[in-house]
Amino acid sequence: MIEVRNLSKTFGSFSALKDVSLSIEPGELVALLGPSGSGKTTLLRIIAGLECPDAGEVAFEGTSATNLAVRDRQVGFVFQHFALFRHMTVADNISFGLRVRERALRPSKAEIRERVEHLLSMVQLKGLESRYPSQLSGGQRQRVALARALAVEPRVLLLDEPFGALDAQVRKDLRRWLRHLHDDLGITSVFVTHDQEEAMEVADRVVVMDHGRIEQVGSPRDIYDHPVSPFVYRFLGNVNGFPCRSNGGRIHVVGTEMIAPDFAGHGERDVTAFIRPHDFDIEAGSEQANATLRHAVVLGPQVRIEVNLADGQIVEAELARDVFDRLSLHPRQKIRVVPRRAQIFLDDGTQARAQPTGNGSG
Amino acid sequence: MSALSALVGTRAARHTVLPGFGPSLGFTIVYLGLVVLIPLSAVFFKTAGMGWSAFVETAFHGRVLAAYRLSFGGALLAALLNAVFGLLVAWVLVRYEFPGRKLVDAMVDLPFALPTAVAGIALTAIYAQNGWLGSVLAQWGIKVAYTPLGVIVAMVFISLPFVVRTVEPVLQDLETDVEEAAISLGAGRVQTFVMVILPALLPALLTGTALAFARAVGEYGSVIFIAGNLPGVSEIAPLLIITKLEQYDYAGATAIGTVMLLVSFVMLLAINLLQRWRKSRMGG
Repeated sequence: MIEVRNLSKTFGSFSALKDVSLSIEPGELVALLGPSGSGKTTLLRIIAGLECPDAGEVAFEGTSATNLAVRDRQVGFVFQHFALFRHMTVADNISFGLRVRERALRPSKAEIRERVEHLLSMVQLKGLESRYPSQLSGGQRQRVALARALAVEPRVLLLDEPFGALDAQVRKDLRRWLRHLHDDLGITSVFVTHDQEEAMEVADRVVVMDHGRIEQVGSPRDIYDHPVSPFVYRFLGNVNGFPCRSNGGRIHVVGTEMIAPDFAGHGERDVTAFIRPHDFDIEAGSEQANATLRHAVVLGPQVRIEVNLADGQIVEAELARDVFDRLSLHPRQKIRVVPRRAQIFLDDGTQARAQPTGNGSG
Repeated sequence: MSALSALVGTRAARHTVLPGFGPSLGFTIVYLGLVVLIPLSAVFFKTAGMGWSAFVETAFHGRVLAAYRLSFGGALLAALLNAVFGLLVAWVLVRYEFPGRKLVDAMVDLPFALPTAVAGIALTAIYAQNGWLGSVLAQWGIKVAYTPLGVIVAMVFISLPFVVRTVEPVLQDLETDVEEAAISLGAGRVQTFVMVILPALLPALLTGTALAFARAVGEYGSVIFIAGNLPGVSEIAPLLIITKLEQYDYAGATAIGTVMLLVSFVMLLAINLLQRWRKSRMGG
């Protein structure tokens, strides 16, 4: 169990963390998700002890770690650029944490060899123990780094953008593999990422950060279905934002009248309506065309289209491949775009769900 | 030094997309020929003219042997001293921010820029028995000026920049996350330095030390002022060469030069091979 209480950290005039609190349950796999400069890496490094907070504290299992040096924290840290020891073989890299122990705690040579063997088979690198890091691929290097971190049997595994330096396919394989590894070992893990898909796919819980603060904490599904702020809404995948005016919860977006019952009691206010790309209905050959198709990208079973509204705004929508084929859409075609649902945010962050008014076409 | 660049240079030339390999290689060979090879081969030719027994008589005379010992031994000691303290200087300059850092950084290059005679006179003035440092050291019974120790001091002085300047850029490029990885795995400071940082710096450190050694072996100007030049005690080999030249004994001078050249070449070659071996072991 890791407890982070009221952490603050500034670098010069840049405030990286502002009063951040978070608790991580034993055995959890948590993702710190945010754009660059959101403070996610700083938070991770403070937990590891590689960075000192200006205020606040970190506690492991109830004991404060403030005065605990990095080497005594028993954390395994995996770096974005692997940080392998280039002059050491894979086996020497993995056993480093065991070899530097003081004599009384150091396992025997045979034990170390056995442990290395075991870890190598766990990270699926058997037979590569005498290679040097420069002779390995990126994905292999990161698995060596992971084995090296696990060799010391840490209480917590911390990973700083572990897949950031790898190419797309390797990244995908490796993050699935990390998830399985975590399921097998059950070691409390925290990883940093700026890739929402990665966070959604791998983590039990996602911590969304922005500007040194935690915006939202929750399960991936929770966060996707119920974003608490426009920032989270935008950050988790594509979304169209429409500034508009609400009167008694009624708004007019993309040529459609919509209503948010929760805001029925409100007067006239400025709001932002968010509509996800897959929440649009597309009709072709309608009398009431309200948009022009700019272009379409086929992504397997999905097609992503970009349309120009009459007022010039660009909207991104997604539809199933068969629907797209049935409509036989082509660029510059006049089409009708109708939102199915929208999420409306007020300036103060309160939100409500909106649906098209009764008859559908306003 | 030609050995060094020749060994490093050949590898990249084979699969190159850059045009102009022929002319640039041609130019390189002509240039090296004019500047390095022809003058050096002249040394051998001149020496060859004197006959074997005369060569042995001149080049391995007792006084000359003592001079070799001082030149090579002193240079080796000076280079090793600079390997340690030059590394320290480079470390401080790269890793710490402190007022006057730029000034210290510039000072490192002074031994490069200073006419060596000036350095020699300055060192002699300071380390002589009535000099600033010399008088202090004299109380402990340590004599620096006009002894072999003085020779080493001068050699250390002039060869310091080589180690600092070769290690500095490598140290700058050394990622701190490797050190952080070591600490997070439980390594102490000494362990991190010895097991992680030092091996990464070793190639540059070796090169710098080799350069420092080569410079110290060939140094003449600053050493002769502080050495006192007692035959068999504080007389360096380059001085013997000058002495022979002044006596118009050109063959004798080149004989000593040839021996120095061969020893230097073998030592530099050995260091280069060592580097290559290290590199091949790490898989390039």
